[in-house]
Amino acid sequence: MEYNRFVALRTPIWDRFEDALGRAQARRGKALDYGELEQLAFDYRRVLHDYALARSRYADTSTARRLQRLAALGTRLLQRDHGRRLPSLTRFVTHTFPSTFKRRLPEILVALCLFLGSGLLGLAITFVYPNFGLVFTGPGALEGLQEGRLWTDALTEDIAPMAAAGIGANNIRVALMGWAGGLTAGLLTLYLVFYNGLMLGSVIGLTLHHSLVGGLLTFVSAHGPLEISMILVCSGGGLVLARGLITSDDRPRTVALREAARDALVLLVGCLPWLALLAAVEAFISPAVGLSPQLKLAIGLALEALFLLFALNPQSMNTSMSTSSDRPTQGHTP
Amino acid sequence: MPQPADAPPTQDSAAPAVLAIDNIVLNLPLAGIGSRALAAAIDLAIIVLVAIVLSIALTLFLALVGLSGVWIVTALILTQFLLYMGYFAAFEIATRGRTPGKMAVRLRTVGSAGGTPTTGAFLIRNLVRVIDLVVGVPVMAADARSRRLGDFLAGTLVVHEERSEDEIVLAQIPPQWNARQVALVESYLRRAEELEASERSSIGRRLVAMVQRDAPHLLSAETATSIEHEPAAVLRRALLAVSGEG
Repeated sequence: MEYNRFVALRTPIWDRFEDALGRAQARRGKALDYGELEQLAFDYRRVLHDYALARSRYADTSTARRLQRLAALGTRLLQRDHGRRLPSLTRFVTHTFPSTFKRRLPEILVALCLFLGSGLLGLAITFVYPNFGLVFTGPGALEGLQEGRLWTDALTEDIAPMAAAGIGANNIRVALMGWAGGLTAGLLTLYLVFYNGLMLGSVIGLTLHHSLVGGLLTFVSAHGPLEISMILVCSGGGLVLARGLITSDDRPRTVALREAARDALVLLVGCLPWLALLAAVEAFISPAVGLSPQLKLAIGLALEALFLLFALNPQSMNTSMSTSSDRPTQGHTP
Repeated sequence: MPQPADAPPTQDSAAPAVLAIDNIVLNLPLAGIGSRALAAAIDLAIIVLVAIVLSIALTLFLALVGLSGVWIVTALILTQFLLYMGYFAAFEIATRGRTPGKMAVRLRTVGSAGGTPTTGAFLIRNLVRVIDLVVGVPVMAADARSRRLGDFLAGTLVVHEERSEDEIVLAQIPPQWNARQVALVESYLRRAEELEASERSSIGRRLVAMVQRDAPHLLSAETATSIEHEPAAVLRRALLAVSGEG
């Protein structure tokens, strides 16, 4: 049979290919000069064809196994999926995030509407049952409220670093749950948004009832606006995933889902630095007694304005809005 | 012209094909639920172990340096958080698709076309791990390529990494043998050492008899006793060496 002739004839090519792959792997692509690289690409094609031949004619032989391994290894090393690289940090800040944010504004607005609705619902419930808010603060807060103290007073400056780490980790976890929760067809995301809105509304109602709402609003004014924005943007990302999962239009669902995942990832990654910043604000500025309520409110509004400026960056309008994905080759960084 | 061997019984034929250039079907050795769950279990065990050791070491170190309890707790919260959140993504990005658990089970994450996934893909598939801890296994069981939700989102597959071993390739083959006979002898020689002695010699003797029947000239000058006791060695001498006789 021709098996041994096939092996004898082609082994030098396979050996050369394996050797070049080994060197490319060991030194991350810098090991080969242009000529060798061209040879490698050429040999890859020959190995693939030999592999196809060996699989149909000499199935399960050692040679078929070796070619299977070489074909898989060569494909992994020589082929980059999608051919897309991560955008540079500047490009991400000036283009990728703003354009994704604007394109996915509908999903974010859905989250906003649900949040506002559930907030109003929470507030309305407290008009009937004033202590409904205790569901979220824990019953222990009631005693303090009756004495004119807020449960947030427990956050004092000497435990600030610990609180910052804990709050930051928790916020990122919640944001991530809202984001990844999109995979439950958006149900978990919607639940989290609803829960957070209901919590805020009813807690405001609770403090309103005890005439302490001023203190609460002062406490949340520095971090609240941005924190709500972060939860809504990440949940918007979750809804993007859910939408890709549910309505794939006329494309294969995996393709629609992958495109949605790209946008959702951009939204999440764009929020992470802000969430870290928020943790510091929430631990160091919000509980600080030395700062005036006006200053806290100003800080809160400034943070929110800064984020919106970043997210709605008008300069990103003229590029890449027309395409469904942000390709690095398009447009120029201003 | 040799007849094509029967359909190779290697891969799950229900799985959609992964095509390389020129539409050549790459039979990627996809990893199933079992090996993937094992790799994940190893990774989780490592995370827990590292978390415990790190907490103790960090606490002792910071206490010795003289930091207060608040800062120690802060450091603990941050390191645990980064460990749980970053372990999988960091390892997969740094090693292009492997975590310690995957290395131990010899698995690797590759793109849907067998290529190297992008950093974004590694991030996506590991950020949704929270959800996949709950729904991942049933999703994998339902998918022909054992993908979990993170794999669908990122467009990735997890495959077995085949080791590069010194393959035993027959150089002398009796002319009328087909590919299945070649594969049989090659796989026997590859695994001979792992077989029980009685199995090794009984299968080996039957293979030697096959050679004897089809190409007696390859077995010249072999004594009956060596065929009886070391058929694997006889086969090696007869079929692996390239000599002038064939």
